[in-house]
Amino acid sequence: MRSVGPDGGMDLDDSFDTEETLSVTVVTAVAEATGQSPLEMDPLWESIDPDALASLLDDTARSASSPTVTFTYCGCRVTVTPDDIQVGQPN
Amino acid sequence: MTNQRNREPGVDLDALFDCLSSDPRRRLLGILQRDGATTRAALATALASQVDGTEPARVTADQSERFRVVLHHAHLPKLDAAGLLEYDLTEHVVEPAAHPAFDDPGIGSVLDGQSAADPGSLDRLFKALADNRRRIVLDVLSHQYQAIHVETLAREVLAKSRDIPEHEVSDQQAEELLVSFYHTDFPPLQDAGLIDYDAEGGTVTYEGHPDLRVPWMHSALRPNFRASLTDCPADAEVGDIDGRENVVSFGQSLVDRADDELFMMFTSTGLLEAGCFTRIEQAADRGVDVYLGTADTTVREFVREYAPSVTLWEPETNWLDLPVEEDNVGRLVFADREAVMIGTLGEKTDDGVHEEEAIVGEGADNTLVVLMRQILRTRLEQFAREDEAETEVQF
Repeated sequence: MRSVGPDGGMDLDDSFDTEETLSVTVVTAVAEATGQSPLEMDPLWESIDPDALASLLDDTARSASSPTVTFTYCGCRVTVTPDDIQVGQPN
Repeated sequence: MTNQRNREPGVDLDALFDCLSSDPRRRLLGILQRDGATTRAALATALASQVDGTEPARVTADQSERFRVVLHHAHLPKLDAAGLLEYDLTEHVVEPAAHPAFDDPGIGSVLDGQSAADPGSLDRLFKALADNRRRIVLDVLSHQYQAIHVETLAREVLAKSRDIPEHEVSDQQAEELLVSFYHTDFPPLQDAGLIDYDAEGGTVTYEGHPDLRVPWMHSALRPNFRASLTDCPADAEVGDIDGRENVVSFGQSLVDRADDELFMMFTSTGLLEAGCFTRIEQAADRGVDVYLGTADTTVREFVREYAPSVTLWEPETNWLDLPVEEDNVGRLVFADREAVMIGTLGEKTDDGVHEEEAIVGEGADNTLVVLMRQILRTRLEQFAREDEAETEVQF
């Protein structure tokens, strides 16, 4: 199990290549940072469309341009790059 | 301003096609349409079983949990917002919604898993369609006979989307749209194989996709398509379609929907646009018996080469006792003996193109359809006999 604490980084593995994987990874990271269960949290879609997030970050050709996406979800600042997810301290 | 007449009233088609651009979401909608209201957990198991190819009883708790998370965070809220289902966040129950998309046979067959295209190809098709301007680009291109220059395309698209005559489109507007074409619109359309863009020559050609339906390019769904092209009421026995573009589009939509038999006649040369031919080829590929009557030698050679299973026949001057030699009837499309369009050619306009209008009838009991069936019966039976006799007949 990967552990992600507040302000801790999480390495994205090779399986990070579909929108499913990306949304699960983001939700899991925030769930662990806030001590909640993924299925009790508000849908991620209400904060950011996982399709849009995936199309920015999971395309190999495009990720060469190193996009960074930052948004707020469940009171946490979440920053995602093609290789890493950072979850800030909950407000 | 967009062309309101061509927009589906009350339905956000960008959102609809965006929702359809994902294989799991198409499967999910298919399951829901088939089985009705269900719980999120049951849906997760059904989806896991389909996607991972395991039997429902063998789906592990881990797999199911993972799909529940994706459903809850990504797919269900998105589909709910587009009006395609209702997701109850407290009870975790999912119900199908009444959305006009479910009455569109083209979308229905994709959701039923009847498409021969692979999931990635469908993803790219719907992604490309999830934008009004790209749908207009396809509509304009499907009416061309050959590749057109990008600037011509830009002018036509602007005229169409703003409902203004082409000469009112300014050079600057056309320039700006070219930039958007190049950076935003062409890549997804090319990615889906819908167009072929020759950057060197600066030309674009319509390629199409077997699952693309004509009404979608008009930002309409099938049940409302005829109403979107005409001013007469949707339940009128005989519809009236005005203008070459609308006539071509409706004719193409009839080719699209044929399952068994397609009987067509084009009396004048040069009436077979790229979008028409692609569709005729696709119909022949999916096993429809296609009979094409044309005296145009170029079209005949083309058909022999690219769609050899199409039966060619030559319209005779006394055909149906209609005065074909006067070029009154331009196009006739008769699909599955239950929908018909008869188009007539009028005066030639300044740019050498005939003015066109058409009457259409749909449904096996429709008066016009019944009349056509009676008139054409002998001819269709003759074709059927020749088919059985392993066509030695040369047309």
